[in-house]
Amino acid sequence: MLTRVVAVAGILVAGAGRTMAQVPSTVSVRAELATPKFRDRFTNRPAVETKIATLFADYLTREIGFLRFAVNDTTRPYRLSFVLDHEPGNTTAFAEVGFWVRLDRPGENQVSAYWLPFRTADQSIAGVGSETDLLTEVKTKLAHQAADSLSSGVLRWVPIAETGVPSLDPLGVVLPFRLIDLCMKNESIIQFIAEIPRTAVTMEEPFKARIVGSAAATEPFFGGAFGQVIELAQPDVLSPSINAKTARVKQIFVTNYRHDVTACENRAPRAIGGGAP
Amino acid sequence: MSVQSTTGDTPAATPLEVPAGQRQPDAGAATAPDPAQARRVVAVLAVLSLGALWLQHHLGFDFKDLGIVALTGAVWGGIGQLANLFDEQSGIGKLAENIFKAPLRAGLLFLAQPIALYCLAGLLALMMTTLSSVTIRSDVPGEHATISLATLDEPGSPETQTMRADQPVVHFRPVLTSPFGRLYQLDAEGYVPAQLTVFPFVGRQVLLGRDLVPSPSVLFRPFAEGIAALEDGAVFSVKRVRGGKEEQLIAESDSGSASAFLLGRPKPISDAMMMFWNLEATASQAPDAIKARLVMLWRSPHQLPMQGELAPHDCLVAEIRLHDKLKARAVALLGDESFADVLMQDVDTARVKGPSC
Repeated sequence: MLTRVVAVAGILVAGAGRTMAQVPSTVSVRAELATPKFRDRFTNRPAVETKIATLFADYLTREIGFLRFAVNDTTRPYRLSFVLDHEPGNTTAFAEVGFWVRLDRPGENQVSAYWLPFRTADQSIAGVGSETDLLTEVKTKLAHQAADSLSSGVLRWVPIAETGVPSLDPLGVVLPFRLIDLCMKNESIIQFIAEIPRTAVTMEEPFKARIVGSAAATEPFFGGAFGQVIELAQPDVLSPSINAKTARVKQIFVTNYRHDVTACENRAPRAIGGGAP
Repeated sequence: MSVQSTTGDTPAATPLEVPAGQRQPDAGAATAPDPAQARRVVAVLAVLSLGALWLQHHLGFDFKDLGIVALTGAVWGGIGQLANLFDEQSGIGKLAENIFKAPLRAGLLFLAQPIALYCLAGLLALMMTTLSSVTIRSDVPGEHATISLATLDEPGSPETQTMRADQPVVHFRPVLTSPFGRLYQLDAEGYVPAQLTVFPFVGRQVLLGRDLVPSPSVLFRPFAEGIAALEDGAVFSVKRVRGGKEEQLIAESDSGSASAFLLGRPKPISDAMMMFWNLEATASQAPDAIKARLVMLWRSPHQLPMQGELAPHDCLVAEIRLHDKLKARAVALLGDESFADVLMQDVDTARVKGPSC
């Protein structure tokens, strides 16, 4: 196994100089102040929500490299909403309020989760404060919040690519992006959906792969990250299909993201709310 | 003691001399007392006594006035006694005769004339039947209140006085009335205005708190959403609904800090009330820190100035609005109790309805 990986890695040098035109998927980010206390506080609520969304987009850009984020871009099929609300069904006046993250997917059900606690029940009778106060509070919360639950939660349902090159030896897939473009370390886990023609039908089978390096000589993605298949279900339907050149990678998801902070240091905004991706 | 006439005539046997300008009665009649005049003198004294009692009733009775009267009487009597003691006829006795006795005797004899007596009695009767007074006290020591009295049958500005700690009794006098009484409206700060009939002779004595019902005080306690909105500069307003018409009482804007609001005079907040508030907050699942803050905040309400007074059966609609969006609301129908404690419930804007007074 190790020999194969080293061999693949050795081929990298040849293609390292060639650029890759592929860009990870872009997700639209919006924010919503849903609780009446926050919703009615500002007469220019849409503008405030846009500023909050910008904070979230900057945060995501810095913390998560396998996707790109744009504020209020309604043309994007995948839309991430950060909704400031209390727990659904909680009718008490002293409920905790936090940011719920909701992912809208084309043709699929929404995925949502409670992500960032914002005001505890002990703060329930405190005023919202000014716009600056609120934005500062959001920044402070984000500065102390890890994005692991987001990357392995709702964002695992966003495909980072809709193509990839299957590899037979070693068995895996070459991603259309370099690791540095994804700010991703080895040992990250991805899942790719492969179309595998069978006798009568074409099946879409999910396969789990671990990022182990980069593929240098794989057309057309020279230098693309390579994910080696793990936990392969038996019987193996992938290898024969790749061998027959009938397998097609349809979608690639990141399910367990290991963030390479150093790789993205020059790309991500250095401070929340500032810089440009 | 004998009195000798300078003309050599027999002196008058009666102690009452005829004042100058009147016809001198003949000698035979002068020796006999005039019973009619004596009765008139008694009548004059009776009329004067009645008038004095009437004045005393309406003007009030002060010990210092009594002291002046007593001192004057003592001086007068003392001078006469001194004159008698020293058999003084030309010095002190003459002085007492000239300064005290003679004018008094002359005045009494003048009033004892039939016409003067009738005029005096008539004038006194007229005054007693048309002039009266209203005396106001309070059952609260050290009460400070502005009190005004206005007749209801004549337009005009009311007469106003202030009750203070150093002036615990307020008098309105004279108060015009009629033999059958006259209707007045009495307004006292902190009390429900009342109409009263002021009758002659006895006047009217009013005890605040007994004859005038204390104006109800209302404590509006905002809840979670209302308090947060107030901290963000929301507007607290109260309007009174009477007969389907709304009257704005209070519009407190942008206080910058959250508080409860008190309309009317401050009333003591009992431990039982605070215990009930604590239960209210507990029932709403408030954390301990929030409960403590709520009770402290409600216990120190912000007293709002208000035109006029609240009255029983007033319907009050209190609202807290932030950027014209309703955040908290309460409807209070005042009863006979002097202190109404009203919790302002948080409002879901979608479920807002009109006043239900």
